[in-house]
Amino acid sequence: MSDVRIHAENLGKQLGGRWALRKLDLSVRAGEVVGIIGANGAGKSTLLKTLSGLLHPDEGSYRIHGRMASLLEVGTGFHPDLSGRENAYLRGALLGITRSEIQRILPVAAEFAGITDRLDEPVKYYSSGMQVRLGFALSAHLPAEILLVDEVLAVGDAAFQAKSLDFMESHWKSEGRSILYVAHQLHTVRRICDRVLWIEGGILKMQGPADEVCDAYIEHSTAQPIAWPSAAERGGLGGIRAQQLDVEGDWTTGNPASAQVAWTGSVSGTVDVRMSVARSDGSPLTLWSSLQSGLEKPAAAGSATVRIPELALSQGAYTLHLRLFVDGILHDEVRDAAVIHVAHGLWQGQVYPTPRPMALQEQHWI
Amino acid sequence: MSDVREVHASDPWWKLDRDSTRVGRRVAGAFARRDIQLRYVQTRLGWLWAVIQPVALIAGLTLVLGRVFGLPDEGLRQFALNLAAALPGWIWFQYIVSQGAPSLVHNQALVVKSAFPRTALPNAKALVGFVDFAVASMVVGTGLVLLGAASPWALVRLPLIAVFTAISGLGWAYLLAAISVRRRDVLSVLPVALQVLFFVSPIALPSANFDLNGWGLIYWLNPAVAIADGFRWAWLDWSVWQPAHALSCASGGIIFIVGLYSLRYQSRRISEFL
Repeated sequence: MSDVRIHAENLGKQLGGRWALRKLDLSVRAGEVVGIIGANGAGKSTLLKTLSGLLHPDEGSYRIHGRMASLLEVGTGFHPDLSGRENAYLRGALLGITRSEIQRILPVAAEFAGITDRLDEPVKYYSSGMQVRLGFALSAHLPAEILLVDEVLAVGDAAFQAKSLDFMESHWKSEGRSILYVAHQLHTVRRICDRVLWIEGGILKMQGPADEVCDAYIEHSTAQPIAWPSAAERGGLGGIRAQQLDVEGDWTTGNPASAQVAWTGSVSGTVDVRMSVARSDGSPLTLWSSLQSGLEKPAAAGSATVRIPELALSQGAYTLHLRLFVDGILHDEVRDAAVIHVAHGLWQGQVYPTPRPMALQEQHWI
Repeated sequence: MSDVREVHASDPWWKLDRDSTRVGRRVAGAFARRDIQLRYVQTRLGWLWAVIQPVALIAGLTLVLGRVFGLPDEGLRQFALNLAAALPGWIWFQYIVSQGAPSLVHNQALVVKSAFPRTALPNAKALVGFVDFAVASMVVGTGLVLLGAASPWALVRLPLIAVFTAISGLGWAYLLAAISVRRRDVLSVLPVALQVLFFVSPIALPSANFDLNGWGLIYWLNPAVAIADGFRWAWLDWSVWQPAHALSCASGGIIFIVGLYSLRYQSRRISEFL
């Protein structure tokens, strides 16, 4: 028991009269990276907020051994008129960390964020990317034994995201820090987590090795019929709104396939129907666009069908994100609009050797 | 392992762990420092404001009210002394309440994402206000010494009254901050309420001899009565004490306890409501 950093028993929290978290047992040892996955509203953030002391549990108990830093606040809470350095002291104080300790880690953190020469400038002159980088770098270098991380890697540019992931892998793990990591991007979970908890409806549904739990989660979430959010909850101007996305029919690698989009509304201009094809964990693979393929269709209510002569996707499940543009302006956006299950087939006459969902590419080797 | 934090659902809401008070001190210090630095960044005159505000108020009120009451020269001098002794303390009290009460709502982004003790934000405002108070007191003290009006006991009595001012100001700040999490209205009413309080408190003139019933009772429940008379006692050796002053002192102490526990009670809910 001596190396247990977080220990929760029968933890439960009620929010708005509903159990957001119920009967959760959790144990995180030193040096362990534990991922938490689940749909929106499943209780992941409630768990982190409870453990960080923001919410008081309504049942059960937990024990934290060691200093805990939370990365819930990356990129927020900086005071615009103060310098990066002063903001760092302020953030340290919030976690009970002294000025001298911050002074010690600041050069390294600033170097990591790539803002060493601007540390004494007011934060309002930083770009938003710089603020996010400084926020992550500070939290990542804080002298804490336990880190609560909520979706931080969804921010920042791709290069910085990769750098952050590398850092989490190489430093935190080797320094024996314990991490509780909440993420929607399953590929990062697979990469850095030793163990994964899958929470659904506030209850622990499954836990185990990362790949096992992620696979089960994907299978489960793609098996559900998808309910679209109402028009009011969706992004875009709303001049036209998608009505349905029909993906009935054959989806086999190398075979013809088609999908049809229908929309309502009236606005003048030329519509561009875009579908981005993503893995179940959200990472995009390819894009289908009506305008790019040469279809110039008026934006008034109507429908459009995409025909794929040879489906260049390997066997597996994919989600389609649907967006409607009129003259380059976004009018509607439906994430996870449909799921397609691609059956095994020959690609260019060959069995394509990939175990994971992937976009294929016609190619010639010489 | 050095730090262990253990939380049970059944923990009573008034329970306080030593760890969080340590963090609370650091946060209050850091926020006070931030406010003080921002004052340098954003204002041209910086610390001079701490001097200009009380001096201008003393001069202005003495001239206007002295004329209104038609005071003779000697009366005018006494009026100015009474006002000067009480004003820095009142300004500090007013600063703690007016800045401390909205401090949770103003720092919402931090408050909902970081679990530091909530009293730290009003405490930080009290610290910032104390710096102004100290500067203004030095100016006033210099004036009183030059006029030969300063009591030899001033240095002993001042800390006592200063502590009372901080306690009663923080009590109101805590209480209003706790309420403001659910009801922002209190923050809109606050500036007007403090303005009214200035005129019904014995800031310019020593306390009136009201009976302890009806409006008199409400008058004596105002901690600002004890603050203003207390500073006159400290600076000028004023000593027209009445039994009712005890009520004013007690109300300051009680509001501190009520405010402290209101805020602690509300702390568990802040992340849900803000």
